[in-house]
Amino acid sequence: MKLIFDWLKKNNFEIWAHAVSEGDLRIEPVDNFKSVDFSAEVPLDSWKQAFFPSNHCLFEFNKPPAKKKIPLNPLLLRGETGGFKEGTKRIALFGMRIFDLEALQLYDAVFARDPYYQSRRKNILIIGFASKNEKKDTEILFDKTFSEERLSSYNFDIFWGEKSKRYFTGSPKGKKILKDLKIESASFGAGTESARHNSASMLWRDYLNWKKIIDTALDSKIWDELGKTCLACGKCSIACPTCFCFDIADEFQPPLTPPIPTEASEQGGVERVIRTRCWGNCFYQEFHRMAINNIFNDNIRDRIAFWYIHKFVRVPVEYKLRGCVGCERCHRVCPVDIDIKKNLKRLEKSLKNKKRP
Amino acid sequence: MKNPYLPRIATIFNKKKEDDDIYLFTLKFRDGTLLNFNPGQFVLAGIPGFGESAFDVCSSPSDKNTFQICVRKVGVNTAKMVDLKINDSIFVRGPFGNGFPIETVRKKNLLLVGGGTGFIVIRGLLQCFLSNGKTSDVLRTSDVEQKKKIQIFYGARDWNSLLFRDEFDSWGKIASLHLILEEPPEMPACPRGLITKLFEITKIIEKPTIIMAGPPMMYKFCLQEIQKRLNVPDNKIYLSLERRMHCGIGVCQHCAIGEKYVCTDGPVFTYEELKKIKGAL
Ligand code: SF4
Ligand code: SF4
Ligand code: FES
Repeated sequence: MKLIFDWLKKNNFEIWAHAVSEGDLRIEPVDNFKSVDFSAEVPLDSWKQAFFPSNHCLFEFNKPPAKKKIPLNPLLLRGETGGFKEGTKRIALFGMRIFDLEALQLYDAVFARDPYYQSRRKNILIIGFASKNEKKDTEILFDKTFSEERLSSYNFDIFWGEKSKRYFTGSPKGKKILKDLKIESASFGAGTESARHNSASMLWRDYLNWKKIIDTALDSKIWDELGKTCLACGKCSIACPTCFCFDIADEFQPPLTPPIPTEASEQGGVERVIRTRCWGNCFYQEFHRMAINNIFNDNIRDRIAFWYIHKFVRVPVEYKLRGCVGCERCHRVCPVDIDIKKNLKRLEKSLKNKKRP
Repeated sequence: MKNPYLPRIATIFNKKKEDDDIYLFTLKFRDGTLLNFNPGQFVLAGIPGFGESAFDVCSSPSDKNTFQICVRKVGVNTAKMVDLKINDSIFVRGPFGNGFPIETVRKKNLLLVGGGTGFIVIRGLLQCFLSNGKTSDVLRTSDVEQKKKIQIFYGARDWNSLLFRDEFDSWGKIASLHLILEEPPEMPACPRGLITKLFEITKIIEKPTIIMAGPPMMYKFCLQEIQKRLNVPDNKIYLSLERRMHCGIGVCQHCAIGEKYVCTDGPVFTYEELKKIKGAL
């Protein structure tokens, strides 16, 4: 891994990795190899900031030149197409664990036709890693351990399995880098087709089971209880590697101070408007606002349920992928100890009890 | 790769007051492109700095060069929009959503139920039926002449809050219009009450396909009436839903209900689909 790290540095990649920062394990840009954490610990935040920034500009509306005399409305799209700047910075995500690769797979599917995501993504190199100290979880959904079979479904460039001491490549780019560095890469393709199929279908079958549970347990009292406990702080959704909701919002440059002028012609001071896309949070009431006094899901109970329905129903229905990769970050960041594993188990149990006469 | 977030600039071709704070805008894209929509589809429109809101397109698809939306002042963006004048610009993305299954419903007896501003969607459908149908995706007037079996239920607060009053006569050519008001005027005579009462006092056409647009409360009570009085299968009842939209393309999750998205799977759903989704209505 050190060789690869040095190669990335030499080639001017910004390198993101697991690293301890102010006492917590985080994911952030790192400068030297020594600060990279290779343990089996899961950091508190996710990689998504690298490929889906929490706030980015979609395009700007600029004021047209005065002589063009565009009636009243003073703002125009910049450029003919209002085009966006293609990402040029090259980023390497160094040491993504297997479950985070699965989350990336979901992002790649969700934003397959998103020009902003794609222009960033094509400059991102994925170097995966599995620690030799990983421990198996008995619950399939929350098992975070690496297996070669899982690897074959995900998108990555290079992967290092510490236990088997093997490098894998998942793209021509990755192959070329290893070749340049004279590192031998193992194949995980041939002969494992059925094993791969079995492991993928095992994960999927397990997931469909959870989907069914969420689908049928929407009336459970457990939701009422969660609605009372949860603070709607939204930390879980920020930390979750698969949460991808967003808001689209406008910013004035320079910022307007209220009262905002009503006549378009009075917006003289505004130089431009920036349309931004930022992470949305379905735990917040604002996310569900329809009009001034009309809000759907106007209680925390329904918003928590909305979150689970997204992960366990909408995502698998739409993308045929898992909407929760079992990393348990949401539980670890929650100030009131709301535990997804426990909740799922309880919902499952409540259904079983209901079925019994 | 096409940028789905990029709006087109539309010029306000005409602006007509329908009620206090409600205006009908006729728009035309400045670059000469067309909207090409189905009745029941919506656009996201707004003014830079104030975001975008969803509007049902309420003109006939056969009017190719312009399209109409009805704007009600309910938030910051719409407040800005209703202040605009003829020749000002609005930024528009779309069309989005599924729209009504015109080919299916054109052959049926129709009961159109609209409450308040929900009626804007119904108006779009009527415009479509009324247009002389130069395109194949539009109901030909002759079809309608032959059967003349469209019934319209329209409920509102008072006479002034009825939208499109000057079009009532033209609708009479293809449909029978039944109005009901919470506070009816002395003249013209009009029953007093909520829209549900129309189910009680009107002889409803045979085997209707029902299309409804209005607030969730209206759906709830009208569905009760329908189940009580009529024998209409759930898949022959269409409802148009309203939710907050951000992306319009089924990604941002703002408009999600159960496993569906109002922006891509809707906004038109059958009751058969909706009754399975908790909290949809
Ligand atoms: S365990 Fe929690 S944080 Fe991790 S993917 Fe699932 S929902 Fe998201
Ligand atoms: S972190 Fe915990 S308290 Fe905060 S929104 Fe999530 S579940 Fe609720
Ligand atoms: S508006 Fe974004 S998902 Fe429907």
